[in-house]
Amino acid sequence: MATPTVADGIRVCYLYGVVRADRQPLLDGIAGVGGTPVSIVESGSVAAVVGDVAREDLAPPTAEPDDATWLERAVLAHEHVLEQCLEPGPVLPMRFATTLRESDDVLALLRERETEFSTSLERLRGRREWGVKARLRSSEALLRRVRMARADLAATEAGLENRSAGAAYLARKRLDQEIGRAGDDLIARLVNGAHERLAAAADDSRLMTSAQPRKERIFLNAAYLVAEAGEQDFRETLDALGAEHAEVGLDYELTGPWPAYNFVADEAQL
Amino acid sequence: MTAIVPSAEEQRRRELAQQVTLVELLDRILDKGVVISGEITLAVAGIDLVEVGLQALIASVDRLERMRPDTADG
Repeated sequence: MATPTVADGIRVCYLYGVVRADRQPLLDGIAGVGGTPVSIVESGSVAAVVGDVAREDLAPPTAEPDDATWLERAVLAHEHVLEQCLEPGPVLPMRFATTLRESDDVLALLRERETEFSTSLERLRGRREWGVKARLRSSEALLRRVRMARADLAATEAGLENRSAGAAYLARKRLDQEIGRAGDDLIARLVNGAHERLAAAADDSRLMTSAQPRKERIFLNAAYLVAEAGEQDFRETLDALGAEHAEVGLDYELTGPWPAYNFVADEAQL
Repeated sequence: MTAIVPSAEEQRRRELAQQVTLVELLDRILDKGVVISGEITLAVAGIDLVEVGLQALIASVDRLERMRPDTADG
């Protein structure tokens, strides 16, 4: 697969995020995309976190199109800078590879949208994004639970022994389908309830979709915006869910705190 | 002095944990966040180029996920 090269020496202004002018992060020694230093462009009550980046740091090397380490390095750098911004206060994370020509353009952007940016920053103040995934460890425990809960299915299963091989085969197939459906229903009910309880312990929530290929075992993938004062409550809710749902094989994974990527979408169409 | 070398299993586990976090990150960074639209921004990387890398990255995460002991029974 041939990909065009952009090794043309052109440098651009990479925009990581926007912070409050009075809550600026410490950026000394922080390496941004392409290992470049990170700096601040300030205007009024808001400040942009930017870097001077080569175009080629945002594109794959032509030699090996299957090598994704360039992207991995760049996204990790983007995240690293934003996590540094999270320390002193809220940050509006920009989408990956948001680039402008020069810092004067950043200044113009800040002037034009200062009100919107500061309103969004105010909404995120004292709140952090957490990610929760519920994954089914194996379907064994779940199906055992379904057989226990559904006496009718268990009875049908027991009755299979008395039937002829052909009839038993078809009945078994139908039964397995029905058990599978009942399992799906049970999981859906459990994770919907989990999401409701987590959302109640958070200020805001979003269901997410994942690019992950093996997502068939992921039954809940959500982001929650949680006030720092409510973090303990949120974690306790999650721990309780984990304990309750362990017997059906559901594991809950917590990630974060993240820059509030999922809670700035309303600002996307400024 | 004895250097503690992690076992292959331990190394794989660590690598997997990193890659899984990377998936979480990719789901956010490429799909969420503030989008600045209009003439002021440049289409530098180009979505196509990011896509190329993303496919390769997801393929590598998928390979690791398949080795996950928890999901090996699927």
